Amino acid sequence: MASVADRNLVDRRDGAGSGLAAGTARRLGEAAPWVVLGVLGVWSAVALTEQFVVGIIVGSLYALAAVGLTLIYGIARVSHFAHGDVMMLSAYIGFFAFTGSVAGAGASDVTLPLGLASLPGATERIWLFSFGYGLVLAILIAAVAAVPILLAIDRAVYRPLLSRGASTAIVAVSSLGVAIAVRGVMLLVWGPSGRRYSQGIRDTVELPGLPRIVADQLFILATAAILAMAAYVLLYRTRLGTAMRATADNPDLARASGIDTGSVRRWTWAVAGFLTAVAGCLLALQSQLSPELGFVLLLPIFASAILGGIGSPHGAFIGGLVVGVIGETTVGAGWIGPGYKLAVTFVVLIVVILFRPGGLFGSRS
Amino acid sequence: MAMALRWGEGGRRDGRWLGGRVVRAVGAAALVVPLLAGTVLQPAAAQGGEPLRIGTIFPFTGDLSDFGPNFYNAAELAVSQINEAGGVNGQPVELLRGDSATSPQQTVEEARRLIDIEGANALIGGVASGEALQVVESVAGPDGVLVISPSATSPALTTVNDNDFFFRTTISDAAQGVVMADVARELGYQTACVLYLNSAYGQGLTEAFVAGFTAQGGEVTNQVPHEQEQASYASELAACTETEPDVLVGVSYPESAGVYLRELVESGEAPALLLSDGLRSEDLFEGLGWESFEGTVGTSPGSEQSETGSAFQAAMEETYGELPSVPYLAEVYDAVYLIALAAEAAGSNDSTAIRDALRDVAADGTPAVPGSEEYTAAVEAIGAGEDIDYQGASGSLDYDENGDVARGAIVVWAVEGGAITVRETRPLDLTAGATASPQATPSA
Repeated sequence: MASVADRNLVDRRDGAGSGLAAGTARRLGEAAPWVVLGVLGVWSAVALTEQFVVGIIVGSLYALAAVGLTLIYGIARVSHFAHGDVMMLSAYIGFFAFTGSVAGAGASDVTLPLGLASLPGATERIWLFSFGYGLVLAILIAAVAAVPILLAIDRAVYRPLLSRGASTAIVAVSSLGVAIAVRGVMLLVWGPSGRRYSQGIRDTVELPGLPRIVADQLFILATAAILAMAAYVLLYRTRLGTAMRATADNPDLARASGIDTGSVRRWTWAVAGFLTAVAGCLLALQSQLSPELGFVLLLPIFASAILGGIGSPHGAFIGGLVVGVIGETTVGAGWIGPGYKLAVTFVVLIVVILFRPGGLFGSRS
Repeated sequence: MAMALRWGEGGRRDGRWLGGRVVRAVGAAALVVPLLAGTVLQPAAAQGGEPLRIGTIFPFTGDLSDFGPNFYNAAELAVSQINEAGGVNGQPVELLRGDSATSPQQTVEEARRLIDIEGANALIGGVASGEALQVVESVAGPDGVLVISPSATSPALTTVNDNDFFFRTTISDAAQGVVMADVARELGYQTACVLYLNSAYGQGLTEAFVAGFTAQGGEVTNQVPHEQEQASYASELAACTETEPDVLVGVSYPESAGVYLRELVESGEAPALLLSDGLRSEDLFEGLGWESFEGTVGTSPGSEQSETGSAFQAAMEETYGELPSVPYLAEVYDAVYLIALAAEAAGSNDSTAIRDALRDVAADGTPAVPGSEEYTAAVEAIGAGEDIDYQGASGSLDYDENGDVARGAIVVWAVEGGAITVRETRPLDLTAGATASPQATPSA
């Protein structure tokens, strides 16, 4: 937050020094990324509808995870490099809750007789989705299970470090260690090969004016939208949300005004964990379960949070969608090979940060 | 906050002397331990008092994790047969295990560990071409350690700067690419789009296929690289399907293909498929549903049916309960035998000596085949001063000056009735430029 304040000071000095023209130029510079992204967004939605839709689907997964990441950074003060792996771990917990399967000693799985899939009618498919109510329950279980896991990691690793005055870099590196440990757990329990919630080919739907998409992807979009709205209401319409935002702005002042910042911190991990776990399960539904996938996606998720302005939840959500759409549409247009998806995303990120160092929504806070 | 910061700094100041001592102690240890290892342990290994140690670096995790455990089993089978026959140079062979994690960096780290710490005399590994390239360039070539890859097929490995310490028991993709192109043309495909893994393997095989396909009058509509571990491959697939090719050629590994093949079928725009050796995995089609891929054709390096090959398959089945459907098992098994026989012929476990004897034991002489009793016979022949010619389970294994096998075979496989079946085996001879192979243009 100090950096934002500093920059505002510098900006004001610039404005006062070089007069009205400089002020206008600065405002234009700050508006430029919005204009460019807006034009690109509309153009790609019209010209590259297919890639745009895929971008929104993938982006909504980034978005949910990035909201969790940005809350953790803003309130708990942790650059959480274990975020991708925790996301994947949650997806595996969902898988376990659903099937009861863990990797056995040999090549075959051991299936415990307590998976939700064994409930009567749990795998009977809802509408055109590839899954029944069993998986929905499993996702809820995974989301709830992520809360104590993240709280325990915070209690065991980050809080002791922070209370001893460890620097941001030390905490960030410790979270990298947590990431590796979490990945190890996934490898140990579920083995290295890819897994899926449902086998075989999934049903697709064709909506008027839209490209054909897999029915499960509608579920992903709807769930992401509902959770985003719920997070918005929580943060901007409840006392807890107000306390969280106050703590993010200035922890000392928040504490002085009687906010229990310890409790706010725990709630932050809980909310972030819930969102991230659901994002992980939806990712597994879209792609697959693989112990490495979470860490690979950590980069675009961080890019989403930074693009939106790190610490800003609505910024992270928009950032996630932008990162998803840029990744898919730039390669879809055929200008550049698909191998450079992430590279293009980061060029856009750097350009936006050059014009708006605080990210798209950063300078407002 | 401010208070905590000051405490932190104070703590560091108080601890400086203690910290300094610890740092110096660790530094000293770091200097002394390698010296000890270098001066005391290494010569002992070279003097023959130590067993032959073969290090394996197979992918137990990552994109190729379907392959690693099976490869290790094949190597273990060879080692147990050799040890049953008395081992190498009078000592049982030790098999060491490393995990490549399907990552070139990790492969190099494991190679270093196996050589420097565990004292491996030779390595089998670098399963993917990208892994093998890294190991050859940063370990095998500079340090003079023999490396045999059972499955790295990229043509780039032919010309890599390896100081002649890199060999492989499989045939270069210069050959597989040609056969893939032949098969595509025979099936009547005029246009093809290649979706390939952005790696030495993917690029090498793609270049060989494209050269062969266009030389036969086919048209390649697009060549699309893809990365591993993505949330979606829709845009990569679109780059291919938009060009409406007759066939989509997939050159990848199972974990990525598990996502994109599913998306391709779901998009409803799937053209015919022609798949590379990396995708010959029953787990892959099991997870996606066999029926959606009925009739899909692929290629992989293989061997002509031989008695030796069948004996190996029977031994695998007997020892491990089933014969896994992954390719390159015989190639792993042969690599162990080659190293053992070369060490026996050299009368030494030294890596350079093994390398020097390798070409000799693989070509021209009394035929020698794998198996416990057969190994005893081969060792006796070597003892009698005879020159032996190892005929492996995967093929005859005669080496050219680049450490490539000169003769081999490519298998054409297909998905048929819920299983992967072998349609035919095409023998290849690369010695006299017998195929129109693009070996003259190896990939970068």
